[in-house]
Amino acid sequence: MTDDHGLILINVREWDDEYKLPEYEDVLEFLKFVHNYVIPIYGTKNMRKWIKNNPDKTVITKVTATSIAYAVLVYESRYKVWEENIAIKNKNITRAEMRREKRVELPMYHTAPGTKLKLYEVGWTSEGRDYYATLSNIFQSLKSNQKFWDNLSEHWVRYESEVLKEDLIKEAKIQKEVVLDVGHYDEQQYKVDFMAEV
Amino acid sequence: MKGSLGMKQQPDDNYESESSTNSDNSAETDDGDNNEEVLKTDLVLSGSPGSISSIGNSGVSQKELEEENTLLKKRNASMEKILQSNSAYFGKNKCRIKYRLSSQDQLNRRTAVLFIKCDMFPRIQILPEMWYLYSPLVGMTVCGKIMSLLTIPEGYTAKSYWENVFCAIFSEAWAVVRSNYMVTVSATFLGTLLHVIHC
Repeated sequence: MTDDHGLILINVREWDDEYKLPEYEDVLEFLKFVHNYVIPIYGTKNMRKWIKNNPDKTVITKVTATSIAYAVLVYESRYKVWEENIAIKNKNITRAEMRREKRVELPMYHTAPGTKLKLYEVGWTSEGRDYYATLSNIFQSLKSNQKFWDNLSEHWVRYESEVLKEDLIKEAKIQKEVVLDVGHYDEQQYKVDFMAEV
Repeated sequence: MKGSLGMKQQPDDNYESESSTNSDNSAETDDGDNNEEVLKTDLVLSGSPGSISSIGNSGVSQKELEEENTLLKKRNASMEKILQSNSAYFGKNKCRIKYRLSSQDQLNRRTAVLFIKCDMFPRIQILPEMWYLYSPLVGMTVCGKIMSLLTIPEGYTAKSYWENVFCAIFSEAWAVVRSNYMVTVSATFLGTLLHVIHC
C-alpha cells in the first residue's frame, strides 16, 4: 500500500487533472482505505445509522477531509510499528518473552510509547501536526472539486456492490429471518379493542 | 460511653430545658435516664476548645456563637480557594474510578463521551495545543463547546468546574475514544495483512 517513502494514496492525493476524472481502478485503493481506516473514526454503528437515515447519500459524502487526513497520518506514522508487532507475534513465543523482545521501530509523528507526557499533552509532534494540516488542506481541496467528489461517490456505489457484497447478503438474510419470525405470530393476539375500554 | 468516662458537666440553661422535655418524653421507657446521660456526654465529648460544640459549656452567649460562625465561614472560604487553586486535585486516575465521581459528574461524563464519539472526533482528531485552558467562548473553543452542553453542579462556577473537575474527565474520555480507534485500525491492519498472506 505504501510507496518507497512510506506515503499512501499518492494516486488520489496528487490528482491534478481537472478535466479528466479517475477510473474505478485508479481510486480502488482509496475506497478500500476509506472503508477500513476512515469509517472507524465515525464508529461503524453511527455510520450505519447515518446510512439508514440518508439512503440517497453515500459514505463518501459524509466523510470529512480532516478524518481522511487523520487516518493517513495514523497509518503512515504507525504501519512500521504494527508490522514489527505482527512479526513478534508470529514468533510463537510467550507473553513475557514478547515483552522482553527488542523493538526498533517508533511511530513517525508521535512520541515513543512509554514517554512521560506533560499534563493534558496530546503526544503528536509538531511535524505530525504540520503534516496533518497539509494533508487536510489537500483533501479539502479535493473535496471542494465537486465533479471529482461526485465521481468518487459513484465509484463507492460500485465498490459497495462488489466488495461488500457478502456483507450485504448476510444482512439481507438476517432481515429475512426476522421478518419470517414475525410472521409466525397471530395478529389477533395483539389487537386492541379500544371500544371495550370505553 | 454512657457516662462511664466520668465526664459529666453542668449543662447550660437552654440545654437543661431541652433535656427536661426529653426526660418527660422518655419517662415511659425503662432506660430513659441513661438516654439523657448519653445525650449530655455526646455533646460534651464532641466539643473542643474554640469549636462550635462548646454549646455544652455553660455561659456561651449569642455573640460568641456568632463569632464562631464567622470563623467557620472564613475557614470554608479558604478551603474553597485551596480547592480552586490546586489544578491537580482531580487527576486522571481519579476519573477512571467511576464510583468516585458524583452522580452529576457521571451524567456530564456520559454527555461528553457521546458528544466526542458522534460529533467532535469525526471533525477534530488532534486537539489544539492549549485546549485545556478555560475560555467562555461558546462554540469557539473545545472548553466552550463542551461546557455549553453540561450542567454545572452547585457550588462551582463554570471556570472552577472546568479547571478542577471536568478537564481531566474530558481528557480521559478523549483518550479512550482515540485509543479505541487506534486498536481498531491496528486490528484492521493485521486483518488485511493476513488476507494478503492467505490469498
